[in-house]
Order: sequence, then structure tokens, then C-alpha cells
Amino acid sequence: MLELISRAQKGDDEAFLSLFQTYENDMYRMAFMYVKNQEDALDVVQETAYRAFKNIQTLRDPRYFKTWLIKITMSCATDVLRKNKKVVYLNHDYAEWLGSEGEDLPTVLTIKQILETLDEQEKNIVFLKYYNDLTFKDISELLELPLGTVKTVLYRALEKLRVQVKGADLL
Amino acid sequence: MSKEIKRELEKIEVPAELHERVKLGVAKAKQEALEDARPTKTTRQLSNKRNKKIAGIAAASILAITLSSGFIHPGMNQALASTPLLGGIYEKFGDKIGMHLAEQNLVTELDQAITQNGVTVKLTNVYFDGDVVSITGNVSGDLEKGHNEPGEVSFDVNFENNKGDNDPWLNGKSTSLQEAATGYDFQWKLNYPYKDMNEEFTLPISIHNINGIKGEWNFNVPITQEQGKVLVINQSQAYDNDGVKITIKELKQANVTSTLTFETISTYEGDHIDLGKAVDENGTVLFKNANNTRLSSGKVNEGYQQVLRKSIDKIAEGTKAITFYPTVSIADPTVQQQLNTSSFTLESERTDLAIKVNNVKQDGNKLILDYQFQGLVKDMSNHQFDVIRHNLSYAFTLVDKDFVDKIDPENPVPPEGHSISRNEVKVIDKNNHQFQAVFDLKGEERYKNFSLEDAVLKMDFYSFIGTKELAPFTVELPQG
Repeated sequence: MLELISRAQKGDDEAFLSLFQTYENDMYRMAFMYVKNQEDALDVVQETAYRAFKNIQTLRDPRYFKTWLIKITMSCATDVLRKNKKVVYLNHDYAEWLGSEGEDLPTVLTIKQILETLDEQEKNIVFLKYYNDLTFKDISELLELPLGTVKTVLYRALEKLRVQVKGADLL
Repeated sequence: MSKEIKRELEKIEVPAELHERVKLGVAKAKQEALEDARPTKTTRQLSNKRNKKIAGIAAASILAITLSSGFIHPGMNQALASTPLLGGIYEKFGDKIGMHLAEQNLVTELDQAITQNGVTVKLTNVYFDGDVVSITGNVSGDLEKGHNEPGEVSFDVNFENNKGDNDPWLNGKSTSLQEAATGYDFQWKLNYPYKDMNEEFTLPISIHNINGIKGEWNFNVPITQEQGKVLVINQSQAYDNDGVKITIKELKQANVTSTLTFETISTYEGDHIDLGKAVDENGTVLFKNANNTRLSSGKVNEGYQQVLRKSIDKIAEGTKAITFYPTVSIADPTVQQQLNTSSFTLESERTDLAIKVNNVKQDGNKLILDYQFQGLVKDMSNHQFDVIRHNLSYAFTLVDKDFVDKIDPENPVPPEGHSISRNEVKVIDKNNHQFQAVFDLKGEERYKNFSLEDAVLKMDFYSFIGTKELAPFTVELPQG
């Protein structure tokens, strides 16, 4: 991988594509977590590939290639949200937005619930922890948040998901 | 729960065209590097959803063209259409509409094949139901000679002889791909893009390249469906206080789906009116948050008009009334203030929200703003407060006054090196909604030659306004 990064840093697009391909599904799913639709998620990954190849010379330590990509993906996704004015809306009927009242509580967790229940920071941390299997320390460094905050946000996110799921002792 | 979360996240389906899109991103960066582009060009126009103009030299020579027989109409071919094979292709793609139509012999079989540069495209089936057009086919041959990875197929395709992105058939088009005994089976799903529905027409399809292999795979595909039954025509509901008028133009039954065409007119430019959900007289939810195909938009005498269409599940026979739940998302213009004064108020034009700035100061590389967010509800939950605090970190943009006019309103990307669009939010007094915004002038977004007097603070209230639910209205359906 180091060889590929070195070649990519010299402008070898084939080497970069080989590298990026390893992670592109992860980046797509991460983008989808933010933007919640295929078209925008594809835009985000395309933009991530663009920015990453454009700036790969700035990657100092090749060991952090994946976390560097994650950071770019988060930034691109945030830009799309801002541009599309989809930054977490506060509905007047907030309870319905959470989808937890007035309807039967579901018995299993769905991706829709994860997307709709958690705010962006919570989604980030849940994704990094459970999809990318990063440690609290890695997440803390990546998001530039204190370790305690990462843990607090994760537990708050899990708590929110738990109330979405019947039989709250899944954790 | 952690395993459950991971399992759910892995269910996010990755579209087949993902790698092609990655390549486009890289190709653009490479091209710009070659052109030594100016830095302001580095931010791609995100609205450019599909830019498949892959760089290439002169068109490759055409090696062979074979065009076998045309199409077989379903009426001529009912026996064949009802074989499990036909339903099987839709089952393979998990397409319930296709499976139901195949059962009813309402799928048209095609037998059109073209080979160019070693790649054969064969179109096998087509159906048209409501506003959904599906075309299935198989692609095989020297696909690996293109620049895609094994298992990936990308088409650069246009319909009705349109060019590039300027093709209404591409809005909402989706492609599914499955490995087949020979090559790959594919399904394109399209939304009929025009206001007036033509139940029978020929759709020209031009594939310009496959996996980067150039060619001209041109087809003419017969598209047909039975005339649908119209259930509702032109029933309107006005909400004068909100400047909203909604007209249900048409609710039409097809064989498996229904289409709902409606017109929205808003007094205010940029407001987005939609039908959030619909419920029948028995309380059955007919749709909730369904996507729209935009058929037209523009200015009319009464305001800003849009005509939209939703494809929804078929309305059950005997349904007497449908209640619609409209919503409106208010577009509140961005407000701004030059920072040559240290106390001022930014007021939302269309709501009671306001940001009262009490102090502005520069402390080394930090710009610190103390403000009170006025007009928020008093008794919000902790979670609501967290969302507001989170959104406040995106709400302000600091821009050099000389660059304010250079921001494209259609694609408002802050100018690199002359703006900061993120701030750290500190809560000063939670109950009185007092906050502090800290902008890092030498952080990730660098602001060159910052001076307080020349900086402009821009604020968007949109993420604090939310979608307003309008009173539901009911449309009676004629019986018999």
C-alpha cells in the first residue's frame, strides 16, 4: 500500500484508483449516512475522490490514508448537506420526526432509524465505531474531540437507538 | 446492539456505478492538474450529477454491427411472456412491479442486439406502468478491455437523442446489474419525464460508451401501456396565510402503480411545497415521503409554480376519499452584516428568529462573537437544544467583503482562503440562549489577511425553521 501511495503522490492515477477502491464502499456508506439518498451519496464519493487525488501530496503519514479519506468524505458530505439545505431540520412536530410516538415501536433496528434518529455527530461516531471498528482514541483524534466527549456522544446515540427498539436490553 | 448496527449499515446498498463516479472524480483532478487550474476551480459543481464525458481521442472504428429482428408486442407474444423466465428476470432484480406485470402478460419482449468493438448489448424486455419505464437487457463481450474493474459495467447512455446531462430521462434513472451466464443482465428504471402522458411511443436509446469502450449502440424501443383510469381531476386547496396553493391535477391508476400529479404555487420564491403523506378513509397510509419527478417549474401570475408527479402503490378499488398532508419548507434569505460594528442584530426575514450580537472581538487567530439567539421556543428538550447548537456551528459564514459578490447564488461555495464557514459553538447561558461563536482564522479553512472591518458575517436561518405542516385536506373519489 505504501508503494501505491507513493506512486499516487507522484500523480499516478491508476495507483490512486487501486488504493481508493479498497475503501470506496465504506466511503459510500458513510456518505449515505449523511445525505440519505443515492444520488447525493454518489456525488459525495466522486467529490471525495477528486479532493483526495488533488491533495494526496499533503498526506504526510501514509498509514493514515483511510482516516484521511474518512475526514474528506465527512467534509464533502457536510458541504452537500449545506448546499442542499438539509442540515438537520427542526420540525414543528418533533416527536413525529423522531418516529417514536403514535406508531407501534419497531422490534428491530433499521437503517432508516439510525439515519433519522441520530444527529450528524452521533452518526459519525456510531459509523466510525461500529462500521469501521475504530477505537475511541482513533475517533477522538480523527474528529478532534476529547475522548470523553466521543464516549458520551456514542452512549447518547445508543440510548436514542435503544428507545427505538422494543425490548431495550439489546446493548 | 453493536453487531446489529454494523449489520444494518452493511445493508446500505452500493450502486454499481460507484467506481465509475470515483474515476470521474480522479479524472477531473488529473485534468485540472494538467490544465494548472486556478484554485477557485477546485470545488466541483456538486449539482453536476452526471458528467460522463470520458476523455478520449477520435471514435474507435466500428468493427461490426448486427441488428437482429425488432420487437415482439405483448399481444403477439403472450405465451412467451408468461413463462417463468420473464418473471424471473424481474425477480432477479427484486422488481415487484415487473413481477406483477409479467404475471399479467404486460411486459413487452424485445430481441434487439448490437455488437460494436467486441461488446454486445441485447435488449430483452420493457414495461411501462404509470410513470415507470423499465428496460432490461444483457451486455457481454470484451468488457474487460475497458477501464472498469471486473464485475463493473457502466453505460454512457442518452434517450430520445438528447445530449449529455441535458436529458430529462436521466433524472431519477437507476441501473441494476447482475452477473449472467454470459456477461451481465442489467435493468434501467426511468421516470416518464413529461407532463402529458403518451401511452404509446418509441424511445430512441443511444449508448455512447460502455466501460469506456466507445461505440454507437442505438436502439428504438417500443413503449406501451394501457390507458389508465383517472380518479381525480383538478381539486385545489389554498392556504392564504402561508401563500400556498395546491392542486391535485390528476390521480391515475395504472396496472400496478398509480401516479399522482399535483401543482404547487407559492407566493414566495424558493419555498418548497410537498405532499408529505396521504391516507385513505380507512386510515391506510398510501404514501409517506415519496419522491417527486418535477415536470415543470416557473413563474406564473399567482406566484412560483411547480408541477410534480409521484409514483405510488396502486390505490385500492373502492377507495372513497384520500386525505393529503401538505408541508411547506420556508426559504429564508441569507442575512449579513459587515463587522465594522461590534453590536448588531441579524433578523430572519420571514420568522421571529434573530441573532443579537453583543460583542465581536479578535483575539490573536480567533474571532469571537457573543450573541443571543432570539425567538426560539422556551421549553425545548435537551436533544432539540443539542441540534440547535450543532446547527449553529454551520450557520455563520465569515467572508471577506471583497469576495461576497463573487459567491455564486446557485452554488454558494464560500471562497477558499477568504472565508470561514465553521465555528466552534460555546454555550454561555443555556436558558437564555446565549452562545459564543469562535472562528479559527488559521484553522483548516484559512482566512488570508483578516481584518475585522473588512469582514462580513453571513447567517442562514433555514436550519432553524423546519418544515411546516399545513392542515390536511381531503379529496373525494368518484365511485363506480
